[in-house]
Amino acid sequence: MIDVQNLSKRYSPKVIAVDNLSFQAKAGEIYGLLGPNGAGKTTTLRMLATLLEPTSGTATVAGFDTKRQPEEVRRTIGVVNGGMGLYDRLTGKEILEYFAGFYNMGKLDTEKRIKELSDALEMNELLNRRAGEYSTGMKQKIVIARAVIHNPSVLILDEATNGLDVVARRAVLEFARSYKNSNRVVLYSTHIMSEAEELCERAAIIDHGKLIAEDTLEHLKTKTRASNLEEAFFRLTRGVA
Amino acid sequence: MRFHFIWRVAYKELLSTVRDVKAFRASIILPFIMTPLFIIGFPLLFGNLFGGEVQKKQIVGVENIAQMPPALRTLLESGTGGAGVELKPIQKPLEAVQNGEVEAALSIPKNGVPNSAGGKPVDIQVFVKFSNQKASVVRNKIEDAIQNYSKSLVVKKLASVGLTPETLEPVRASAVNAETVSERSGGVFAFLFPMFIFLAILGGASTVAVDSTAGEKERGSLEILLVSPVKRLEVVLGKLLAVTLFALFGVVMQVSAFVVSGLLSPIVLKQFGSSDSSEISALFGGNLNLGVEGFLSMFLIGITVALMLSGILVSIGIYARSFKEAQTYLVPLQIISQFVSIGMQFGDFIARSTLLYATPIIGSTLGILDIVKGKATPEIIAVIVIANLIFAVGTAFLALRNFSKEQVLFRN
Repeated sequence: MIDVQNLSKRYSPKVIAVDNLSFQAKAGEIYGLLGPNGAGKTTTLRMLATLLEPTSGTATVAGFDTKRQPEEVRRTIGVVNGGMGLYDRLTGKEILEYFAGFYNMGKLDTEKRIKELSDALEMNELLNRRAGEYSTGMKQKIVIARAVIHNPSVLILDEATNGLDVVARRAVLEFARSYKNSNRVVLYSTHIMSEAEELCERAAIIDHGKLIAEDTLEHLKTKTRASNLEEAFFRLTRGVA
Repeated sequence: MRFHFIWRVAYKELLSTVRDVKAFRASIILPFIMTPLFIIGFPLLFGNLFGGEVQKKQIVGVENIAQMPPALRTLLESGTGGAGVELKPIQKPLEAVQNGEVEAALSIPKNGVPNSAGGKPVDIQVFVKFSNQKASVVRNKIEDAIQNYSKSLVVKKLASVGLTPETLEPVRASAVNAETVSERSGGVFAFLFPMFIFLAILGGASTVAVDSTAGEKERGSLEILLVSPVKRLEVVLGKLLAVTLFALFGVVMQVSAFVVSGLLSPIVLKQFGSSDSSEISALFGGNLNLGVEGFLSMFLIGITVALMLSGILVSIGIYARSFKEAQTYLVPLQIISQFVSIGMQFGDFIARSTLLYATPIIGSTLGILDIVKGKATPEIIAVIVIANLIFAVGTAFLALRNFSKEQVLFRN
């Protein structure tokens, strides 16, 4: 579903954010994109989301080329980032309706989908309140609902648990797990290895824009003789095998 | 390009701004406070203050008061037909004024003041603080009294040789105000009218522009909007539409405030003002009556200025990394528009040309000033409007360019 081939992003002659990155994420899996802060994860995800144009290489999302078919790509993806950007003076329902409109969802379809998400995320009481009144956890529910309002086949979560308390964080992880099915893929980008270990089947580890390793989590741990993913990550990024 | 997407973006911005109750109320209320305050409040206040000062019996120090001719003393002290001041003997006139003992002082020469014309002129020094506006009232009173005394001596002298006072003035210059009613109604402070319009546009539009660009960027919602299937062109046009509509709302409010203030001014000043208030009100543009054509022309310029400035505001807003940064960038724009308006107080010295009218901001400021003074012609309005529309297209392209540049959009 996501196929990245030799993808690079150069901001200036001296700054290469992503350097010749390749990986594939298949339908039915939660794929981890792991790396420390500044590794190039967000730049990679922005290229996949068609916000940034790659300097070289190609990427296809759900069969659509990010360079040649950006609108089709955007129609198939949903993005949750750590910013939790909402419109404070709009209600949760208005925010969801606003975004649903861009996917040409009709009024009835939108209402039905909002009801489904409201039940799934337990956010019925939030819908008619303005976002400015929400707690962090409440905001995160609307952010997730907004990302999947159009039922995308590719869900991208970029440091989605940043700044969340333990309850809200748990809700995000459970939602990511529940969203995965045979027709969908979840791309989970984080620097928190325990979250990746809990969620992902396979992962790409990147550092300084380069792919360090790509495999199942079990193989990554075996290869590095590490007892957990964090240890494996350190061994891989510090060059200790 | 999908218009329903453009309207969706614009509608969200408008809804969000209208719900920002304080900012929205300010854009409605401010023109209706500031304009009547300027056109009615200041003349009322100054008229009453000025009138009160004229009526007041100021204390005037006099050095060598014994040398003052009784006739001059009567002219100074008399309330009816004279200056109506209270004279107080003092030794050092300069010091007495400087330390506030008296509001003004006279120095009568030791040799006295002549009580008949024909001899060598004698100077009576009048001490006042020139920069003090209150002191100018007492200065005028004293100078008038001395001039009247001097004139009475000349009249007496002429009479003694069988001549009338008109002998001194065989020919007189008589100035006639050739201003049209419109020119007169703008007042000498007409240059401030464009400033009000620009402030209304910038005040209303900059909140929407900054919130919908730098604000969205700061909140992280812009990135989410751009990963939905809406095109960047549609996002920019939607935001431009919202900013322009709010700027137009500012223009409508401001022009309405001019109309209401112009209508209320004579009624309020008649009821509560002094005899000077109406005169001062005229200087402040209280008699402003542009007629339907004038107000429509002003509105037309306002619309095109709003379109032009919206593009600039959105371009600046999207370049900034945060709400605060954007507000900082907008300060020079506000200063420029105000400086141009203030500079227009010397507008009569500026040689008008098509190029000048086509210059952004300057041309529109001149145009509004011309409308207020009744000088604007349809050709002038057309030049300004067409030029503004061309610049509006340019600023819209600039906004789109900024929205398309990765280094601007993700500048952090």
